[in-house]
Amino acid sequence: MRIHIETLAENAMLSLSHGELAKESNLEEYFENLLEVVKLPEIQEDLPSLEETQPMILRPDEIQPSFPRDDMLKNAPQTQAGCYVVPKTV
Amino acid sequence: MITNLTVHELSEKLVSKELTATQVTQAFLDQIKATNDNGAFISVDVEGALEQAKKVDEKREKGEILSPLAGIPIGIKDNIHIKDQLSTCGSKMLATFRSPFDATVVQRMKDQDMVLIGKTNMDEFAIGTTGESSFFGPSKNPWNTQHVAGGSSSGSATAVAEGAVPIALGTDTGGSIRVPCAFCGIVGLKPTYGTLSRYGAVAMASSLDQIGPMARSVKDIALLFDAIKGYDPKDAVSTQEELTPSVETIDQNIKGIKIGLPKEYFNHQLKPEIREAVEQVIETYKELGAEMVEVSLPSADQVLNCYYIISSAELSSNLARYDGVRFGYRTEEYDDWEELFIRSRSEGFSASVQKRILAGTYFLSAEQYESYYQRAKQWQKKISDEVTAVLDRCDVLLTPTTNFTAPQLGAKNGVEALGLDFATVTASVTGIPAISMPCGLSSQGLPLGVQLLGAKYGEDVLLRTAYQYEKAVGGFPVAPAYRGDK
Amino acid sequence: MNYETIIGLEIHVELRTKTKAYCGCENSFGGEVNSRTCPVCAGLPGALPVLNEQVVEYATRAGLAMGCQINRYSKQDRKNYFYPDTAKAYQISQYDIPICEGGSLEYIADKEGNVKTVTFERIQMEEDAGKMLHNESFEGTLIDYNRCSVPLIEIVTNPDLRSSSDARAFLETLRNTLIAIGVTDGKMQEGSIRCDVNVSVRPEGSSEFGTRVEMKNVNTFSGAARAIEYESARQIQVLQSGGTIEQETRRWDDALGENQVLRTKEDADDYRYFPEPDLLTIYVTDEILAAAGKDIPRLPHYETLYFVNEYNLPLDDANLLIGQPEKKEFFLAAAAFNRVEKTGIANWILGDITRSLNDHKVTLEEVKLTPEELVIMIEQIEQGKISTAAGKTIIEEILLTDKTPMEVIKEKNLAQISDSSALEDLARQILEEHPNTVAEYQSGRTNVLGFLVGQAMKASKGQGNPAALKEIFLNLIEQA
Repeated sequence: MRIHIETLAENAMLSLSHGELAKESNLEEYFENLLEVVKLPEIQEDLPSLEETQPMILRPDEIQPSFPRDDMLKNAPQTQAGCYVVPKTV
Repeated sequence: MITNLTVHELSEKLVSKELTATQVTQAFLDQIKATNDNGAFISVDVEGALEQAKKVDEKREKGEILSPLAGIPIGIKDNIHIKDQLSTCGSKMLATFRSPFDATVVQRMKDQDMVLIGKTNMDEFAIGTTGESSFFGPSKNPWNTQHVAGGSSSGSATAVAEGAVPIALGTDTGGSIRVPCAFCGIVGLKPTYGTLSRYGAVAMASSLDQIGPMARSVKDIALLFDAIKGYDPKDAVSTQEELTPSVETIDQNIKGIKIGLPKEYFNHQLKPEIREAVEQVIETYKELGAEMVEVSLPSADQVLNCYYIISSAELSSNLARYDGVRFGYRTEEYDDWEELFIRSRSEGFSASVQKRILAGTYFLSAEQYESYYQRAKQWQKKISDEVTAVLDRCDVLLTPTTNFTAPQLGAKNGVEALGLDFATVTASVTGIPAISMPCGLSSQGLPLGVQLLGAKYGEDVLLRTAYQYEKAVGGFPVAPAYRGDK
Repeated sequence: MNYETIIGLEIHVELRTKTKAYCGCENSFGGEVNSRTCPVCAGLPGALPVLNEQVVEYATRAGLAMGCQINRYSKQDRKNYFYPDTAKAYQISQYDIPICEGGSLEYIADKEGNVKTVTFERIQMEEDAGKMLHNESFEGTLIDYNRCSVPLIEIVTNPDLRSSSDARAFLETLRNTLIAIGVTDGKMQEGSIRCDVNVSVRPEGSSEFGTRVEMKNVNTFSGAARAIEYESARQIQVLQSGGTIEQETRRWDDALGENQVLRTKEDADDYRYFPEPDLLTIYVTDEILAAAGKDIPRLPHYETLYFVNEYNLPLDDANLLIGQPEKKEFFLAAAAFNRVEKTGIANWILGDITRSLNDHKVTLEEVKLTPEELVIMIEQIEQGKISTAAGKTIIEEILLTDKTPMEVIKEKNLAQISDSSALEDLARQILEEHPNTVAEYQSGRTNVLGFLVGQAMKASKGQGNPAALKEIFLNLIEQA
């Protein structure tokens, strides 16, 4: 089995050439072994239909106070004018 | 010595005013200081704890009727939120994160006037079985500090075993409460999935994560579990099932109770001295009037892989929100938002966490979904059916908690491959409750653990069965080096 | 070769629940940035979603109104993708088992009143993303999560539409339907309804579908029509010049009137859908079903036809009224007096009254103008007692005050002079002042009549009845 670890990293928004994974060696080999080891045998087993599962309790549509903006923003690495900030997206 | 006492012993002394909450809290704060090198805590709230203790003492002075847990100090795993306090999850990613809200279990403990003394160390994002992946360094095993505490609830186990707290909360996704409890010679319960609210506990694998208590007595476990369990409208998977209080029946005898012994968990990989210790437990149960039944769970060998696939898949999605925008680590160098995301994640998560994320991303990919994630769900169903069938015939199942004793610090790579959580993942994948308790020491003087598994919502039976063993062997003490009165 | 255009739509509709989809934060528009967020909708670690019952009820109501099969048991799934406006890095959506399947909606396709049908693949429940704010003065993008986790239904149609005008007519009808059953406010300017457009073309007569292209960023229905025309023409041109259509997603730029490739099939996102583990099965209980089906009104296109037949309204006016419930109610109340032409009522409501409301930034519910006052005013015009221009003045005057039309007519001296002897005197006087005009008229320069009427109006300070004056001048010229 060949895995496209670059595609995987791209989908997970992780870098293979920067940060912690860049310090790892033989990642490809590691994954090929891993995926082989953990692969489960095929079985015939029907998953329960939704009718057989437990339905959840829904929330009544009642307004609860939102959190103070400062409390929400206090963990943000960068804020501006009451907003979170990222580099320009357009 | 105060720090050698169990929760119910402390509770009695508080109620009789033999001790004040302030005295108790101070004693444990002193022990935390003295055991600091073991790395049990990430943060300690000295001021808040003493203030809370004082409040409890004042309430008691006024003659208020208080919960038996009032004034009892507790350590909280650092992935469970206390409002305005750090919740690092043992990760560089959240090293400075302070939660703006309380977890539901924390709220309930506050309602019981417990003293929240500090946040305990853990494997990064609860991913790991040895406790060594914490950004803040490993927690050491109080029975032998050359050895790991086990993980991922490593700090909670260390703290209880070294007498730094009488009780702690951990989280268990595949064995993260039970493995460190076995390694550190204490008791830990992974409750039935859905009995303790997950609200405010940082998710690793949502369909498997459960919070649970860790202590040195089964009775203490029962006391805390009863106090914080039950339906929470903030957690959509939390159960509305009427749960039988476990404390009330814990003292009843277990004559005639049927204990199943699934043969697959007594396999060739089990270390002989653990086998012998577990056989001793079986003998004790027979003396207590329990009936042993040999049973089989034919799919046992597939459980670990089933667990690995489901947990990796879910954590890959749960850990996607750590992007350096709303909270957490942000890289210093970036040109566009994509680079900001990628670099923050690549620098903020350790390599082992990133590898799990990549594996989970693979399992969920459109191309692989059927052969991995969906197939794992099929196996999960099959395993659950097998377990349910066996539990129809027995009241509880008994297995060793781990096949090994706590490995040496730094031996991680060799151990990971061996599947430390082989016996614990079964209860996780099937959602049933399981408890680990000490069952003697290895030749090296390291604790050994035995695990009991119960039927869904059958915590009362499970805890009673466990407690009768505890009583028969005379209890589970603090690790010798920290008893201070030997 | 002639080509046929095949169009499918994915319409995102914000539901008008009180709270967001998974938390108790208020669901509303505008206000301070990030003032309506909490750990759940801002995706903080440790927070968990709990589904709003009203979302299930509204989705079910939409399904019932449009003949969908309601799945009493459904579930939600995670759609994983990274973007700064998505707080959790996944959207809670529905993948393989949506709440509604099938269903259809009829719409009036043209001025002749031809009715066509669009069938649906499904209606699913999901959540909205936050908003990204761009500002020249700031080099970054700001993120406001007030909209994050606002509940949506996504209506996915089958590829039944064949033209941009059909698509537009259908979208208008769909919007009117969803407003009429009360599940959305349908405010386009607030982004309450947005759609993605799938377009493919094929040679006329062919039964196979061509490769389809998805277009994002279509924010208005007229924009959808333009986007479809552009994309259809682009595809035809590619095919005619021997090329092939690539399966891709393109971004519509309405200002430029063109689209650009957003992503190709190769770099299409793998959303890694899987069942949302934080939620359990969604069960539409008998109670929810009953509430969802309660008092579903006559659907708008039937109502449109009714308005056209009953009140003789033009199709466009009927559609406009039906899309705006308070104007519709006002119209019906005024029409009930049965004293003036219904077309006139609709004209006044959709024309000058709407303009005045917009100028004052108020709604019809907030002003003092009553249906009866409008009827009285129109009556005055129909009886020739005031001019149309005077009518406009009256609307302005009574819209925000307690004055009645009759008071304004008096106060501003708006009554027309229709008394013919008075007007005849005036006309004679004008003719005397402009002695050459009679000859000019007789030599064929008939537009001089307008000049004369204008002069007379001026002399009467606008109070002369222009129609009557015209009559009089003609008579006088003939007699001359």
